[in-house]
Amino acid sequence: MEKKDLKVLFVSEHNVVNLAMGKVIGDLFQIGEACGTEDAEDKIFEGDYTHVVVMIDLDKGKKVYDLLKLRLPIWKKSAKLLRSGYGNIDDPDYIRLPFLIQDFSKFISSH
Amino acid sequence: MIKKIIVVEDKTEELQKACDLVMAKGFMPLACSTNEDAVDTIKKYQGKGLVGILTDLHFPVKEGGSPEGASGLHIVYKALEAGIPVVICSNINHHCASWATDLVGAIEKAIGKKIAGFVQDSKNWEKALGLLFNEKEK
Repeated sequence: MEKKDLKVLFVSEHNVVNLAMGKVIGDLFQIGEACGTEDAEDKIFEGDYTHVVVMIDLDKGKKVYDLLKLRLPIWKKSAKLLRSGYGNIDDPDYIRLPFLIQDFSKFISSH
Repeated sequence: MIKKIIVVEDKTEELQKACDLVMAKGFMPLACSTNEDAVDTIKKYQGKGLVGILTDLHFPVKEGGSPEGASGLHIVYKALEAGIPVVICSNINHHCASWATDLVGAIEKAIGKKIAGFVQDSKNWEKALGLLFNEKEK
């Protein structure tokens, strides 16, 4: 898939991270948005994202990630569900913050 | 705001069936497979578009737990306490269901509100959703 076809949503409990991510990924993909954990499910249910990246460093993020694993297929959404956070997790579906934006772009494109 | 219905069921196939019916009626289903998920979801969406709850009777308290306990009764308590219409949908045999109906009655008496329905003998989600909509229209 070309970058111009990708629709990416970044979900985090941190407003500052969401503000920064929204600005940075806004121009990278066809859709590049960031939102808080409270709004994420409404946006995903109504939207057509190809990738959803959830920051799992705090409890609300972990909860949203776990519930999206259950709810995305129920909603018949094909978005790839990926994780992000401050910890070191050895998993190809996880990207550690802070990352270089080129690294984020490569991470999304590789899924 | 999108109108939402929580569906609590630990069997994936049944959960999908119930959620498909909810989506066909134009609502957003919030699928839950444990008591913990359902209670968190009620708390998160109460007053934010949550219009009803469909719940199984037996499912685990937490991920990986045993489905033996009647966690659905806790969901009934939480729903009535929050003033959200709730229907139990279970394949419990109606001949063996008196303990459950008695406990539901006790919860209703304690809270002072009634559930919208209790479907027994089969997982008839269509009937359960119909009972929920009847309650919503009251």
